[in-house]
Amino acid sequence: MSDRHDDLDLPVDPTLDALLRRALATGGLTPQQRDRRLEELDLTTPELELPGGIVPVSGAPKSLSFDSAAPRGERRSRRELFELAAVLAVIALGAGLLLAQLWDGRSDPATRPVIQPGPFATPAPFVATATPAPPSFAGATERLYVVSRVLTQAGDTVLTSGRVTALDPDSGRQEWSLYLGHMVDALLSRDGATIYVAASRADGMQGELLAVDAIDGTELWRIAIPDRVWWSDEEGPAGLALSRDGTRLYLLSCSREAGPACDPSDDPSLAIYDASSGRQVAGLAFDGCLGTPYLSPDARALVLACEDRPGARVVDLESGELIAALPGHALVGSVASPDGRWLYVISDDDGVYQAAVIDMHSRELLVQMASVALVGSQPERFLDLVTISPDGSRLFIGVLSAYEGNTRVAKDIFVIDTETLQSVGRMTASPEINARTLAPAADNRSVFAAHAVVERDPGVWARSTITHFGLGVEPRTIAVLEHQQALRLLSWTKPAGQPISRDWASLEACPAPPYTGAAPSDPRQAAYSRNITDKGCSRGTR
Amino acid sequence: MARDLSPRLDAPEEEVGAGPDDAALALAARRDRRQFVHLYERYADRLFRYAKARTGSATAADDIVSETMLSAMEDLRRFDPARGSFAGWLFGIAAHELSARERRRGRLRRAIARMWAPDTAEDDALDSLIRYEDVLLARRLLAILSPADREVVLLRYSAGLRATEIAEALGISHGAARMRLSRALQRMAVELGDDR
Repeated sequence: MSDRHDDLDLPVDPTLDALLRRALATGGLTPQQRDRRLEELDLTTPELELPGGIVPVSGAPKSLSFDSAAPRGERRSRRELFELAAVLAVIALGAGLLLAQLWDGRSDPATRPVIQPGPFATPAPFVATATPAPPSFAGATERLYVVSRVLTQAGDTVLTSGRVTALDPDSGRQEWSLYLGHMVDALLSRDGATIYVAASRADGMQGELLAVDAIDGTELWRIAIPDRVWWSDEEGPAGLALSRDGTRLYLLSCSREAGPACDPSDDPSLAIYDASSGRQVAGLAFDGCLGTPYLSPDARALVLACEDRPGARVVDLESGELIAALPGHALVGSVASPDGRWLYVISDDDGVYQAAVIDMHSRELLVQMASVALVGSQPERFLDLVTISPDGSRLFIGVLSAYEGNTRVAKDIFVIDTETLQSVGRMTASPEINARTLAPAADNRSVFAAHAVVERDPGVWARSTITHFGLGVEPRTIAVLEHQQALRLLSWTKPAGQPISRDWASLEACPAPPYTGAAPSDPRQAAYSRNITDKGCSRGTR
Repeated sequence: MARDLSPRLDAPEEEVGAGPDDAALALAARRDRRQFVHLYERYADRLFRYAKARTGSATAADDIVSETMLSAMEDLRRFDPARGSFAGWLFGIAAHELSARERRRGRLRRAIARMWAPDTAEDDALDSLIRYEDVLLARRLLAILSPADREVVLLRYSAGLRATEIAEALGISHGAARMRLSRALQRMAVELGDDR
């Protein structure tokens, strides 16, 4: 028995519908509250005092490229940022139109590779049927993987499944594709040989962890993890990391009691697995902090933002010691340099992005809070919209920067010099697309981006466009994935002169000094002037 | 036996959309801020219900209504009727305010534990008792959902938004909003069925 909401064309259990109406659709402001708030709005003035014009804020960047950032310590109010955003939006409109023309002229939709979802059976989505990759893929110098959610509709039911697809970034050709459970996340080993996937069964109530050969998509091992679910929202987990030497896999998980996704209070724990076999070798439960943890990509640090105290704590996973206690700002993510030395912890202080920089070799906080001048808002999926170039010289950060209808979407990707933490450029995506996740390209100046179409046609469930663009790089559409929502992009660049192998030591361009277990030095505010060469690290290679 | 529901969930107060439409009111309020009072009257209670469901606190909800209305009034020039509904735009502001608040003060999970404590001051005893049971049951059902799925249910039932407006408020596609709502209602119905 079901009812139907006619603007949804969905069946609704009438008992549930009535219950939710009774419980949720009643109540409101008291007359006293209403009167008081109306009085505060001061609606008696005849003319609404809106800004007479758009005035750039003092000290704001003067060019579209946003080359100059505000001095450290300077704060802009939200209002000022809005005004600045308006200025840039006007300018970006013209640039966007120009870019759209370029885009359309160079990438005819009819010629774009279109990847349709393959056969999908429910409720057993684990069909590991990867097509063997051609030899050219094994020898490719650059590879791209799309982790996506596949949506299919069967009557009134929407079926979801996870999928990992290997693409040739030059031709857009699909090399192999693997269907998995839903809510998948994945990471690629540094040597490019293995993809590790955290997936959930179709009912979302049990996790699985598996390893896949990145060259041909064959499954290497798989383990079931009963009664645990991943640290995830529907947009994908953020709790999978691989140790620097590639031997240990770290996974944050929770008790499944509260449902198919982790919640901070649901018995969070960190499990450590042998990356070659999937055997669990250690576990760590942490409590006393109701909040969202982030693993640094190389699993060296756990970044904890607790509800019951301001700021964030960065904990060394090897020693369990506190590396840094960052002051009270909203933690939005962290990213590690490719050599593993620098950990950037990025937060949002009421609209102003700030970055803390931690030297993971000395466990020293180098910069406590440096303002990063970006215009826009923190996206919901910030973790997927921040990435770092293969040489570690540039951070790419996507922000919500434009309006589609009345919805803010991510069209701008700022390029940040990691030496200075200053913005050195801004890349604007095509007007019709909305960046959702980024992966760095081999040239260190461009990115691959998966875009969700900003669509208003309810018949279009999802479509993801994979593109390549950047500073001085002509935008190019690589592939269009129909009925898929890209959750994460993984890219891999073959190190110059290096074979694809598990020779981890040869990839370690910046070896860490022995860790003595000494207590980290006190956090200090330091001038941000790192000389990488002097520290014995070459950033030009991986 | 199936029965038809109205396109919009029944709002307990005035029918939204009756009289001058939102867009006309918004345009009028740009010229004369006094006209904003009509939009306030139209949406204040729905904002309050939505904010209270999100925060679990009537005081916080009161603040959110105030902050959202103030932001909407100041930024009214940003609202473009040709590009979306006023409701979607307004609740998008509210959702942003709530998210910022939750980032500062804790996640939704904590709020759920104290969500919808029944306000007995204005209800008679029987109504309160019935509603209290409903609230407890609804709270338990909502607790099984992911935060994202819970959000669309609250926007649907507390705020009375259409799927298109939910999509606009959350910055997601219509299809995604529809999918989330479908999935959430199915899960809750299964859970409810297990109780019956």
